Parts: sequence; C-alpha cells; structure tokens
Amino acid sequence: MSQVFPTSLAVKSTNAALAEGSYWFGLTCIAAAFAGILSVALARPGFTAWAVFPALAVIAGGGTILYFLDRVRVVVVALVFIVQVAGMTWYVHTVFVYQNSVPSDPQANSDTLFISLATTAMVMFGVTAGRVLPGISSVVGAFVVAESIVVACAFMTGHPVVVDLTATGLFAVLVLVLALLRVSRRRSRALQPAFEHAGQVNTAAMERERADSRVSALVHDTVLNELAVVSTRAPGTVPGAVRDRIAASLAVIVGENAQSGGTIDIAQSLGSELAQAVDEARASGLVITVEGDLGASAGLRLPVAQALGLAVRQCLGNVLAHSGVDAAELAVIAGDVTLTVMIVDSGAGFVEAEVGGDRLGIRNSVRGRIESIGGSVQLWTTPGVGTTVSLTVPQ
Amino acid sequence: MTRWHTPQQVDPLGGITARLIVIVAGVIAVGVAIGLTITGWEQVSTPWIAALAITVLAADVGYFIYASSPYVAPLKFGSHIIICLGALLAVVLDELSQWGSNTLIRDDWGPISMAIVVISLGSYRAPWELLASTLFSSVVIGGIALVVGQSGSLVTPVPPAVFIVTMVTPVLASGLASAAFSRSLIRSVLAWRVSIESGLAVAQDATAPTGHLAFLHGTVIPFLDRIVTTGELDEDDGARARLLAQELRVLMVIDAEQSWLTGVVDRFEDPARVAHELDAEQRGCLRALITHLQSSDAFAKRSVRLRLGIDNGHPAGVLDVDTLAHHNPRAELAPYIAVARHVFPLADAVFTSTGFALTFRL
Repeated sequence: MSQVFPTSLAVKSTNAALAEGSYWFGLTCIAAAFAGILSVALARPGFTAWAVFPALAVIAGGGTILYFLDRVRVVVVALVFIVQVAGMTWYVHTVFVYQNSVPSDPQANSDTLFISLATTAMVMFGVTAGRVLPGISSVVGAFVVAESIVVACAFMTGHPVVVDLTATGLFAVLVLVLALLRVSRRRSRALQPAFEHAGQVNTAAMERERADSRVSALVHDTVLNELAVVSTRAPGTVPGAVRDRIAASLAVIVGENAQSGGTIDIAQSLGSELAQAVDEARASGLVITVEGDLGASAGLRLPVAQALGLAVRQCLGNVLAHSGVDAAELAVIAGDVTLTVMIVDSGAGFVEAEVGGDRLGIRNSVRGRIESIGGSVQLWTTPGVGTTVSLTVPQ
Repeated sequence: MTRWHTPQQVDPLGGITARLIVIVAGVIAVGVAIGLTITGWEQVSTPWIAALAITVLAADVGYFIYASSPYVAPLKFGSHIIICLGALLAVVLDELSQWGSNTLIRDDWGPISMAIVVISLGSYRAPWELLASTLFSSVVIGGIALVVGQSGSLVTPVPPAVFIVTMVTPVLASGLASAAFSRSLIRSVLAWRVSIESGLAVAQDATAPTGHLAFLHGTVIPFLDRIVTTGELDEDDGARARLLAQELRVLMVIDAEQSWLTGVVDRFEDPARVAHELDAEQRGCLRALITHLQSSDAFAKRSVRLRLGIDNGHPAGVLDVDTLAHHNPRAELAPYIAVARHVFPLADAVFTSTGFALTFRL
C-alpha cells in the first residue's frame, strides 16, 4: 500500500476541508455579529433594529444548507445565493437605517464591525460553495456581491460609504492562499506517483516473499523428504505407496505455488492439523504428553491452523531425529487473541548459533512459516538439558 | 478517526503543501503588525514594548516556519503550544504598548496576526488540540479585551461585550476553521485508507520464480514427476536424487539469506538481518527514495549504499549516496524526508559537501 494520499483525492479532500473550515469561520462571524448587536440592543434604550437577527439567521441558514448538502448542485447554490443576497440586503439596510437614527461619534468607526462580520461570513460561505464552482470564482463572486450590497444600501439610506479594510484584507489573503495552495500542491505532490509506484512494487514483492516463504517451508517438508527416499531406494519398480506419497507432495507444491493465497486444503494432503501432527509423531514412536486441549486450534483460520500444524510436525520430527530421547511434552495455551503451543523435550539440546546454515528446519519450516502468518517463535535450548519451542499464532 | 491523528501524520505531503502557506501567512501576519503599528502610531504609549511585540511575533512566525519544515517534520504538540503561546504573548505586548492611549480596539494587530498564524496550524495538528488551544486563547484574549475596555482610553460608545467580540472573533473564527479543516482532512485520508484496504486486489508479482523455486520447478519437479508417471527408478536416479537434494538445500539457504534489498541498492550490508523487520510503509519509502537517488542527476551513479544493523539495541539503518558538484538536492529530497520522518520512529537527513545520508531507526 502506498503511504501517500493520491494527488487527485488530495485536491478534492482539501477543497472539502476548506469548505468545512470556511463554514465554521463564517458561522462564527455571524454568531459574533449576533452577540455584539444583542449586547448593543440590551444596552441602548429604544433599540429598533431587531430585524437584523432574522436577517443574520437567513445568511447563516444559507451557509448551513451549503455545508450540509452532500452533493452541491449549481441550481441549489444559485437558490441559496439568492436567499443570502436577500438576507444580506435586509441586514445591511437595517444596520444602516439604525446607525443613521443614532448620532454617533464620527471617530467611532467600530460600527462598521457588524458590516465587516456579515461581509466576511458571505465570503467564507463563498468558499463553502467553492465545492461546486471552479477555482476562486465563488469567493470573488461572494465578495463582490456582498460589497455591492453594502454600497447600494449606503446610497439607499444615505449612510456614508466606508472602505471595509477588514473584509477586503481578509478577502485578499483568502484569494492569495487559494492561489498559493494550487502552486504549492503542484510542487509538493509531483513525487506522489513515485511513492505510489514504490508502494505497488512493494506490495507485490512482499506478497511474493510470503508466498515463497510458504513454498520453501513446504519444499523442506515434502520434496527434500521424497528426494531422500528416492536416493535410498534400489533401481526398479517404485512401490505404489511411495508413488502416491510423491504424487501428493508434488500436488501440494504445485498447488501452493499456483495459489499463493493458500486456499488449498493442504491439511487434507499432509495431515497437518495440530492433532494430526501429534498422531503422526506418536505413530513414529514418540511418546507425547499433551496438556491443554488440542481441539483449541479448531477455531483458527485455515492458513493459520495449517501453518501451526506443519510447524508442530517439524518440531516433533526434530525431537525424534536430533534430541536422543523418545518423549516430549506438548502444551496448548489458548488466550483471548492468541494460541500458544509449547513443545518441550529433555534431550540433547543444542547451541542455536552453531546449527549449520544448511539446516532449514527451524528457520523455514518453523520460524519462517509461523512468522508468515503473523505469529512468533521463541526457542530455549541448553546442551545436555533439553529444548523448548514456543509457537504463538493469532486466533 | 482517533484524537491522536494529525493531518500531517496521515498525509505527509500535505504538510509540505501547507508550508508555503505558513511562510506567506507568517509574512502577512508580521506585515499587518508593522503596518497597523505605523498607521496607529499615535496610540502607542511605549514604543519599545511595541517593538518587542513585533519581534516576538516575528520570532514566533520564524519558529513556526522552522517547525513545519519537512526536515524536522512532524510538527509536534509542543511546537503547537509554543506557537500559540508566542502569538498570545505578542497580543499581550501589543496591548501593553498602547496602554492608556489605545482609542480603538479594532485596529489592534494582535488578534488579527494571531488569527493568521492560528489558521495555518490546521494542516499540522489534531482537531481537538486546535479546538482546545483556540478556546484557551479566546478566553485569554477576552480577558485582555475586558481589561482594555475598562482602561478608559477607548472612544467607541459601545458595551464591553462588543470589545470582547471585536478582539476574540478573529482568533475564535480562525481557530474553529482550522480545527474543522483538520478534522475534514483526516477523515478524508482515513476513509481512503479503509477503502483501499478493503477493496484492494493484491497486486501479484508476475515475474517468473527465481532461486531455489526456479530450480524446483525446472529440475526437481520434472524429475519426481517422471518417477510418479513411469513408476520406475533407473540406475542413476538414486545419485541424482541426492545431488538434487543437495543443490536444492544450498539454493534454499542462499534464498533465505537474501534480503528484498539485495539488488535494489548498489551496496548493501545487513549482518543482523534487519531488512525483514521493515514494514510495508518503511519499505515503500526506502524504495521510492532509492529509486529517486539512482535516477536523479544530482547524485553519483552506482553510489547508493544501505547499511542496516543494530544501534544501541534498536534496529537502525543508514542510506547514503554521493552528490555531484554544483547540485543542491535539498529541495528535491524534501518530500522523501518528510515521508521518512513519518514512517520511521526516528529519521534524520544529513547533507555534506560530498553526499547525503538518511539515518533511521525502526
């Protein structure tokens, strides 16, 4: 899997994130205007501009509709736009009429704050609408319309026209940021295809590695055994049982390699489930004391059960072949999320570092196999004392 | 989505995209501070505090630009706190510099500049963090507005609540916007990851088997197949079976010793067999970077070396390459470094006059 978000989706998700962020920015501005005017209304006797509150609600409602629409369509945006223009006109007209009715200090231009907040909210809701209109056109459109409403209402009510530095500055910064975002994204994401390709190559390579590891373990369990059998037989006719066993091994190898997903019932071919592994080792002369429930492996996924059975088979085979004793203990410990099988013998033991590099039993058939299905292997061995192998697999 | 996710963690390249915005927004924030200080100079009662306020803001912006660099990515929680506290300190100093002569709150640059800084954080930190720092900053700035409102120097005949609204709104609005931006971005990327994890058809490597598998399929299986088909062993079959078993075992050992990185880099050392501990994301990052190092004109051909081993008990590695004279590969490697710092618990890039090295720990 590539760890890098695809550029095509990054553009879409950034636009969606900008739309969401802008909505909350705009809504905060409306809430601030609401709170500010409410405090003025409560403080000034004879306040008459109560119409600003429903007008603000109309502007906020339009933005909210844009925000919550899953699929924004041009027709819906146009309808919302008309409603918001009406709301903004209603609001600005009401504010100007009220300001004209209250003589105020000409230096106290904080009165324009409430116009700035509404204009800013309109511009921000323009970004929210930007999910459907290309580029920055919706932002520019929203700003131009909002400012036009302010100028028109000023002329209609005889209110002085004041340049709204806050809203204009914010609009300029917003346009700059949107333009820069496009440039910056083009630069920073130019290498995204390289990451994606590397991710794909890796996915394939890791899948291949896992498949190879499974096949290698099976080769160790099957083909090497069959070659050993053939090498010790005299020339002549091969007994039917030997032919059948070689054919079964070939079927397993060819089948596993062709279907690296491991969907073949290898257990049936090899007798690889946990209980069968124990039965086979007992049939070969090993005395096994079992603690715990061998049936606990029944709940394992098929590939995990197969890998565990084959690994246990190899461990018990190692006891028979190398430990010098004919008895072993096998403990099955079922946890909530893992199953652990421990094989203990009090035989010759060995020094792991001194095991020849060509001995692949523990490395491939036990460790490689268990790790390939997400499990882990621990090995404790002391020469002259014995060996304990612990296999833990996911439930 | 967990509360620990940040947009930069889930999309490291997004952090690089946003860095240009951080730089430009930072310059604008300082520009606004200088501009409004000059235009409102008659309101400044203590010029050295005004200069200190601008200096603190500039230092804060400088630190933000540094912390958002791909070479120190990701921008950490502590950096977020430093950036917010630095901006808040600038707001406090701005108000102190006008103490007793501040006639208009609306032209105070502190909240505006802080809002510009805060909104850029949306690409880097988790939404809950941004929300928490925004609420904290809003409370502090609201308190400042109350104190300034009671100082008696303001000329606007409005209730104190309007002063609070005037000062708090820029930071509150931009903070909420950045938190919403962060939340939306994280949700998109995580939804994409879920979709590709559940719907991905695993790409199968179509290459022919190599090593012991090639030998198995080309030689061993046909040999055993013949025995099964004919049911006969001739005079040489016993010796041939021994020879095949021996060769197969040797090839299996060679394959087991090989790493996926063998052949990917020009020189590879991995005595502790660390390569198999690299996860899919780490492998993808290394492979992409190695491919770039091998194809870029900035680096000497066949000079990519990778050494993996154990460093202070941790699996670690060094990927290094020789650079050619008159090339500065910093910019072209920035996205790779950002991704490396995201996928490895520890990763650092070192540039010297003769080469580049990426050190990392698993």
